This record gives sequence, C-alpha cells and structure tokens, in this order.
Amino acid sequence: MNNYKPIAEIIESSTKSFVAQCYELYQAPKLGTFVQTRDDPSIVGVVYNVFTEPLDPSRRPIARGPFQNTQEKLYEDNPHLSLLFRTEVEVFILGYIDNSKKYKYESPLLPAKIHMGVSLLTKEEIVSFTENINFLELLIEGISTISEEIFSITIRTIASYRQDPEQFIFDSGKQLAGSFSHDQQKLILLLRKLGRGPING
Amino acid sequence: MPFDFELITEKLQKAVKSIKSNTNSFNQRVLKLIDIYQTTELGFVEQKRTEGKHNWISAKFLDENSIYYEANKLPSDYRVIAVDGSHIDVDRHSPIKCVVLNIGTVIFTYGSEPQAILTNSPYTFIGDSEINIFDSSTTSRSPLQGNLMGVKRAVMELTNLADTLEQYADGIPTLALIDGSLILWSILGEQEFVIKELLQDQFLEQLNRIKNLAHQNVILASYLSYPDTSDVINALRICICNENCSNKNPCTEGCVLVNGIRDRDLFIKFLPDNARSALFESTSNVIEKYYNKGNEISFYYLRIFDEIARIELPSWVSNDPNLLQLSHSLIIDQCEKGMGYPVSIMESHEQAVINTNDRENFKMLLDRLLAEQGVNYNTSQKDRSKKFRWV
Amino acid sequence: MDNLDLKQKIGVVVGGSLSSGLDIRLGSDYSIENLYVGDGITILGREKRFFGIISDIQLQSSDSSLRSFPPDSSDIFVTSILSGTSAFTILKISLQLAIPIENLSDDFEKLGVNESTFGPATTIPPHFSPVYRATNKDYIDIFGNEDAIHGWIGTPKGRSKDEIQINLDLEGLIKRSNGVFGKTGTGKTFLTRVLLSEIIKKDLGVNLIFDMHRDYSDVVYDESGKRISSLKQLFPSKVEVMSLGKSHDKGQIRPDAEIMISYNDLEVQDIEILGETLNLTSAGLLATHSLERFYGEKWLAKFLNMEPSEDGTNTNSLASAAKSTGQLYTVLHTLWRRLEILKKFEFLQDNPAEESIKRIFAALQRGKNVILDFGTHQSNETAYILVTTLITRRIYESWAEQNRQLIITIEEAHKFLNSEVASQTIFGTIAREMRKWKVTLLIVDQRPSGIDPEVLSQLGTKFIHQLEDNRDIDSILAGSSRDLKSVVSTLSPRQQALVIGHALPMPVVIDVRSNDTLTNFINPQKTDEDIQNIQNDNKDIFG
Repeated sequence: MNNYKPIAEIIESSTKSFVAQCYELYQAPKLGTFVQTRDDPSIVGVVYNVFTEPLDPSRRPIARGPFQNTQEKLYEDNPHLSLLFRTEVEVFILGYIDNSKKYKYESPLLPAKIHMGVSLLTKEEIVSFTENINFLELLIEGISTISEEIFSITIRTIASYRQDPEQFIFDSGKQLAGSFSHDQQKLILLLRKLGRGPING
Repeated sequence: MPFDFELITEKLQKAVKSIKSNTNSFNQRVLKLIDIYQTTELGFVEQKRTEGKHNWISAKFLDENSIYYEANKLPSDYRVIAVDGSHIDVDRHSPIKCVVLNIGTVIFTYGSEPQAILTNSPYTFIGDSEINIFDSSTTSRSPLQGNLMGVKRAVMELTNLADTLEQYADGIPTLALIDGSLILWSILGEQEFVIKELLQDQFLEQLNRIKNLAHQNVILASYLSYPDTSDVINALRICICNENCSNKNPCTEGCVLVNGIRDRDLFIKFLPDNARSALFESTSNVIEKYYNKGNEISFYYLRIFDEIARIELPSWVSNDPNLLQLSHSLIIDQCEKGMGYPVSIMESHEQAVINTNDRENFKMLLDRLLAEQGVNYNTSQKDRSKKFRWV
Repeated sequence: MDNLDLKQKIGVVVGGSLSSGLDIRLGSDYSIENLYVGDGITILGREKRFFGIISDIQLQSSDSSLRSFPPDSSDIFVTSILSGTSAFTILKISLQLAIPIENLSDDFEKLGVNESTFGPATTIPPHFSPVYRATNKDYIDIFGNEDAIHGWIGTPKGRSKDEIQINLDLEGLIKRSNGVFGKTGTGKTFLTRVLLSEIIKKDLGVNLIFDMHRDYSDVVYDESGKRISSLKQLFPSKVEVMSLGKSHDKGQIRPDAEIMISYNDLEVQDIEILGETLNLTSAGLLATHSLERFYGEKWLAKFLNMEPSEDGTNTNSLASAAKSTGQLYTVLHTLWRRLEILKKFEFLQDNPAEESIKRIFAALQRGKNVILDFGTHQSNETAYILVTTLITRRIYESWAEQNRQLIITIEEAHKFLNSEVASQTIFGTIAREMRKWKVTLLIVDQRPSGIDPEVLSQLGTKFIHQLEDNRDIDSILAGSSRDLKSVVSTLSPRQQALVIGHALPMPVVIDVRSNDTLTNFINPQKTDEDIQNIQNDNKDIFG
C-alpha cells in the first residue's frame, strides 16, 4: 500500500492488463507513464492507451458545428457535458512488488480488484523499477498489444529520467534485437523509433 | 406467422399517392385559415364561443389576435430543473405484485458558476396496498397499471420537481420543465375516487407547492413537441362553422376548410423562427371540472428549429410578464443547447430510462428471491406460451 | 591468469565440422577488425582444450531481409545495435590440436600444455564452448623453446616479437625434403637463410647450397638498407664458398675454391633436363641417346667438337655422325647448334685440372657447408640447371655410407621437378626416396603448380609465402590443408609465411625472423664482451 494520491479507479481487470477510470475528466496520465495499484501486492504497469468515451455507450457524441464557441466555453455553457463522459486509461502490466518489497518482472497470478485505486510512480521509483533490464521481458512480449509506438515512447520516457539515457536506450535496443531475430524489418522499424532519443517530460 | 405484406401494400400505395395531390390544396387552406386568424377580431371569437353550444373544445384567446413575440435576451445566470420518469409494469403472473418507477432529475446551472447535477431515484410499489388506489367509501380499487400508472408517474414527476425546486430555488430565474402537458388528459374516464386521489389530492397539491415558489422566479412549464392539438383551429372554426357540425354532418365551408389541419400547421407558416404565438387558455374538460381556481393552464406555440412546440404554463406564470418572457427565452436556449430539443428534458429522460438489461436484471432478481423462499411461481399458460415460442 | 585471460574471450562454438572447420560466432562486443585470418585460437571444451587457426571470416545475418533491405549506414543507432545481434560475424576455425584437461580448477596454470600430452584434434568441442585468442603462453607451450634441435624462425602474425618466438624442430625438418614457396619478392630467400643458418649453427647437418643469385654467399641489403651478413660471414669456419669457373667478377667474395666440370661428367639425362631451357627438339633428345650409345662416355665432348659439315667423308663431321648413329643430319645439326652454348661455359672443359666434384664431396664429408656460387653465370638458367643436376647426382651417388644428413638447397625447383622430368631427374629420386640415404632437398620456388604433385606431397614441411595464382595455392594446399586457402591469400606480401608440416605441431602464420638477428651462437643473451668479440672476429676476416 502506498500513500500516494489515487488518480484513477480500476473498472476492468485481468492478469495482463487493466482499465482504470480517471477521477477527473481529461486528467489522465500520459502514454508511457508508470502506474501502480494501491494494494498488496502492488501491481505495476505502463499506460498504453488513453481514451474518453460516453458513460452510456449507446449515446454517441454528435458534432456541434464549427460555429460553436471555443472548447472552454462549450463546457461552461453546457455543464452537464462533463458528467456524460469519462476518461479511461488502459494499463499494460509489467510486474508487481511482492511482500518483501522486491520487484518481480512477471505477471501477477491474480488480477487486481475492481474499484482498486491507481496512483503514479515517482521518477525515482521508475528508475529503480527499470534498473534491472529484465523489466523489458513482459514489455517486449506485449508489443503486439501495446503497439510499437507505445513501446518506443515508454523506453524513451524512462530514459529521460535516468542518468544514462543514451546507454539505457542502447541496452534496450540490444535486448530487443535478441527477441526479434525472426523479423528484422520490424526490428529496424522499432530501433528507428527508439533512436529518436529520450522524451522530455 | 410471417407478415403478409401484399395485402397492405396496395392500400399504402393508394394513400401515399393521394398525399401529393392533397398537399397543394392543404397549403391553400392553411393560408386561408391564417388569413381568417389575422383578420378575425379577438372579441368576436370570444363572443361566439361563450354564446354558442359548440361541442368541440376550443382555445380561449388571451391576446390580441395574431400577434407574435420575439425572444428576449437571456439573463446572465439561470437554472433549469427537468424531470422525467420511466417504469417497469406489474407482471400479472407474478406472485409478487410490484411496480418500479424511476424518476430522473437534472439540475443545470448556467452563467458565472456553471454546474450540472444528474440524478435518478427509484420508487417501488410493492404489494396490494401500494399497487392499488382504494376507494375509501367502498370496496372498489383500481390497480396502478397501464394508463393509471402513467398518471401516477406524472404525479411522481411533479412531486420530484416540487421537492427539487424547494431545495434549489434561490431567486435566480429557474425554469422547471416537464415533458408533455400540464393537463392530465388521461385521467378522464377513470373512476371518481381515482380522479380525486390522483389528480385533485396529489397532482394539484404539487402544482400548488410550485406555485408557492413563484416569488423565487420559478417558471413552471411543459414542453410538447410536434403537438397534435387543434384548440386554436377549433376556435377559428367557431366563426366559420355552425353549431351542428359533426363528423357525420360536416358543413361545406368550415369543416372542409379545417379538415385535417392542426394548430401546428397554421403556426409553422405563421411564426418566424424563435418567435412565440399569442397566449391562449385551455378549456379542456379536465381543467374545467377538476383544476381549481388559480391553476388554469395557458399555452402558446413556439417555432423552434423549423418545428412547432406547445408550451403550457400555469396562469400564475403566464400572468407575470417577466416570468412569461423568461419562459420563452429560456426554453429557446435549452433547445439550442439540445440541438432542437430542450437538453434538460433529454438528459432527464436519459436519467429516467430503465434499459432492457436493467429490466431483465430486475426480473431475474425477483425470480431468484422467490426461488430462495421456495415460493411457487405460478405463471399462466399464456405467459409461458409467449415466453417460449415453441413448435 | 595467463592461459585463459577472460578478457580475451571472443565468441562461442555454434557449428561446423572437423573437415570443413568449426564455426565460431563472434561475441557482440568483440570487434571483428581485431582479428585476421591465420591468427591462433584456443577453445575450451568440456574435457579437452583445442587449438586451431582462423581460416576464414564471414559476415552473416539472422534474417535474409537484412541483405535485401539493410538499414541506412548513417543511422548509427540502428546499425550499432544490429551488428553483433542480428548481423554477426562467423569465424571459421581449422582445428589442429587437442589436449585433455587434467584438472578442472580455477588455477589456470594447471591447464598448461606440455609436448607429451597434446595430439592432433580428432574430435571437436561441443556447442557453445567458449573461444579465446591464443595467448603467448599457449604458443610457448605448443612450439617449445629454442634448444639444441629447435630453432627460432619467426613470430606469430600480429604478435610482438619480443613476447613470442616460434621454434621449429630442425632435426625433424631436415630428415625430410621441404619447400619454401611464394611469389617473387615475398621473402623466400630470407626465410631460407634463417633455416640454413639455424641448421649450420646447431650442427644438425651439412648443406650444399646452389646459390643461383648469390643470395647466400655474399652480403645483401634488405629493403631498409640494413646490411645482412652472408652465411660465410656468419659462420666463417663452417662454410666454404666455391665458385664456378675462373674468378672474374666475384664481387666481395673470395671463394675457397673454383669449380670446373668435365664434359665427360655430363650424361644424357643432364642434357635431357635442359631440354626446355635449350629448346631442344624431342628428336634431338632422342638423338643424344644414340650418340651416347655410339660414342660412349665421352660422347658429348666429341659431339661438340664435330664440324657442322655435310661432308660424309669427314669422320668428324655431323654428316658422318648422322650416318653412324642412324640419325638425320638435320636433327643432329639442330642439336649441335643448340648445344653450342655449352662451349661458352668456361667451367665446362674437356679435361679440367681439378676434380672439382671430388673437392665438394670432401668438404661435405668433413662437415663443411658448401655454397656453390655461379660467378659470372649467376642467374644463367642453363648453367644453373646443368651444374646443379650434375653435381647433385654425383654427390648423391656417393653419399651412401655417410652418417651426416645432407641438405641440398635448390632454387627454381620447378625446372627440376616438373611432372615431365620429375621421374627422371636425381631430384625426383631424392624427393621420393626420402630417408633411404641421408640426403634431403630444400626446394625454393615461386610456381608450385609447376612441380609434380607427387613430389609436393612428399615434402615434410612447407613454408608458404604469399601466392596469387589459384593454381599455385591449390597445388600447395592439396590434401588436408584445403581449408587454409584464405590464410594463404591474406598473407602479407613481405616476409610472412604459413608454415605447415612435420616440423611443427600445428600450422602457424609467422612474420619471418629478421635476418639481421641471425647469429652464430646459440645463446641469444649476448654480453657486451661477446658482442665485442664477434665484431673483432668479423674485422679480422673481412677487414
């Protein structure tokens, strides 16, 4: 259990990933952010999809026209709008923190509970979690789920927190090369994305 | 059995063909009626109405004839409270008699501190005592189902509206909106004790509660879109038909002229966009008989988004020019926000709706509770045959 | 930790076979540019340690799409990750030796090799065995130190000459015929000089050197202008220089003797071997047989003194000879004209004053090394072939009872040992009969493809400098060394040789020992006094 403020709540949960609804509309953690559940053991994952949808799936938003007021005024003039949508994040699980506070880079054996709170990891915690290159295992396995672009964004974001960003990206690239020997062209695509360097912020 | 389309198609075809040929004459007649509306004196209509013994309901003209009004500017801060309801009917075959009613309420505040609240509250009526209206002097009772449930629903909607208004009314212009009509048409035909209970005791009570908030700038109104009403046409008819006209015995001038034309057809051609018509008063039997003094219902027609809507107001609103014009401009703003229909009514409807899943879940809950108690669920054969369509 | 310095692990075994070489996948962080063909390698198997040399280097990729769509070379990030992972280097290793690992312990000293425990590799290490560059100690363990019978001939390619010396088993070497090969200018003479000086120094045998170009009898200068002492200067008391013919232009040499040859010494086969050089017709060669049959031992002198006349009445005319021998006049005439060149050789005489060949024999018998300098006839092919063949044959015939090992050094060996003549010449005989009499050859040649394959296969040790012609490379590597083709073609063009054969436990590419390091004493650690003594000696002899 950590004491950090929860920013979202789990509404769908599996051992591979979970979906959390953000408490504030449009206030979601960005792609590539690390989050963890607020229970024991705490499950750690990375945000790979952020989306906003109507609360009632049968009510689809309809375009209001180009002559409407600017974004801000629209929500002011129609205060009920912010009650009709929710912003959610899909989180891909990278591991968990076990009873002895050690990082385990494996799938948890049971999913997190619905309505469990979710909070952000601090920069120090992210650096610590990614210290061991094995954290890449599940992330590489999950490229087909999270997409190549998210994989690259995640690595590049982590790199920006570390003392050795270029070396980290390089080492990650080497690990990737080992797993993608069967598909060189995809590997090259991925490496080019990684080569863009650390993302700031 | 599969639907036999052939038999109906022929008739449909004939009907569709006649629409086109009829439209031209229809439009001519509407224009004629507008002409009559504009030229006929207000006094003259009223005189003929009070004298005559026409057997159709016609509106009372409250305004100078054929005037219309443009909308005023919106106030900087205002509020809308809307209610709507939805229910699950009694299952006749179930050993437990129950009805679930869901009332959706929305409170939208606009202006310097915009806010929105969306809520709904369920009400259950379980068991004989709650499901029925009892006649205190006899053993008669009327179960709350079908038509009567609709009436009860209207009562609950108004109750909720009154409750909410009492909580929120703070002086800024507050529009209290319900969908449909303030006139409880459907109570006609029910037994006296029912009418007394539901309309006079309950419905009117709520109206009064709201009336008491008039000084807080509360504007009660109902919104009926694409109304079928013809009380204004009927008033004009007084001038051009005779007393004895009936469906069996139409006259060649008036009856032919007004045939098939409704108020909305007249006013859609007559009113400019966003304008409202003159004020009228309803002379419905229900009102004459049961609505007490001070609770007369006036109405006007409003042209909004190329359609006509009928706005009904209690007299204490329509008699206050400030509240009257507020009703006009606030309703127009609501329709603009809702792209043609008042957004608050739309959202309250969404709050009230009990969707299919929920209905199913409710039924399953009931079945499970009954089963747990070992109660025999005696469904009828008809019910069973409808449920399991077997060969 | 000398033997297995873990820092130098270069890769692991991933495939291959004993016959075509092991495949080693180079580690992803080891730079391919640090390695080259010919370098020594050790592999740590489970029960044995293996030694071999890199015979080829290949680039491979795990996915063929990398060949069709390689990443942009300017995209350094991508290429640096791919190289070593998806795109990697395979080394081909020619396995040579194996030694069982007695004690598997962390004390790597115990994993040392000594001569009695290693043998040729007959099996291969298992998959993923780690591979290291051979260390200095590995080389020392395999090739041993210099001693009475081992001589220092060079340094492994790419290593420092102060750290490792490759020592040859000279005793084993001279028991068989050997060859020094390479294109012109690659340094065959330098290496030969090293071999000869080591043999002489350690008194392992006597050398008879036919010095066609005055490489061994006189001082030479290397490329940098350094003065290289001649064998005579190095070993004044052990070497005798004999010069062919009278002393005219002998340069700096003062020969110990002058060699004359009698016509009568020449036999038909000596003429035959000159067939190509003198452009003799086959008819002419056949005619020599008839001439010998008719005129006996002194046929050649007689033939050359005949008159080229058609007058059959003249008994000294070619015509009468033709009649006597049953040959055509024209054939004899052509033969006579072609053989006239022999008359120009002043060392070739009817009745020479001395029996020079006996002189040579006597010197060799006494244990003196003889260098035959060709005087004004140096670089004359006819003279060289004629004299070398004759003298060799004579010496060989008489060497039967000798105990000493005799090593005969000949250059332009393909003239003597090509397929046409190999079966007939003395050299072919010596090469084939090997240890029968204690005579072996040291052949120096730039066209091994011109030498009879059977002769090549009889050579004990081959010293191969750079060769360009594929035929030459193929013929020299025929047999079990075929996988070393790349090694030969990547040799440096100067003084670098692949040495394979009986005189070494395993093949090795060496930078040949610089000739200015040749000394006449065994102990390489000279004291200042020693150096002074030598300098004094030299001054005495040469002034």
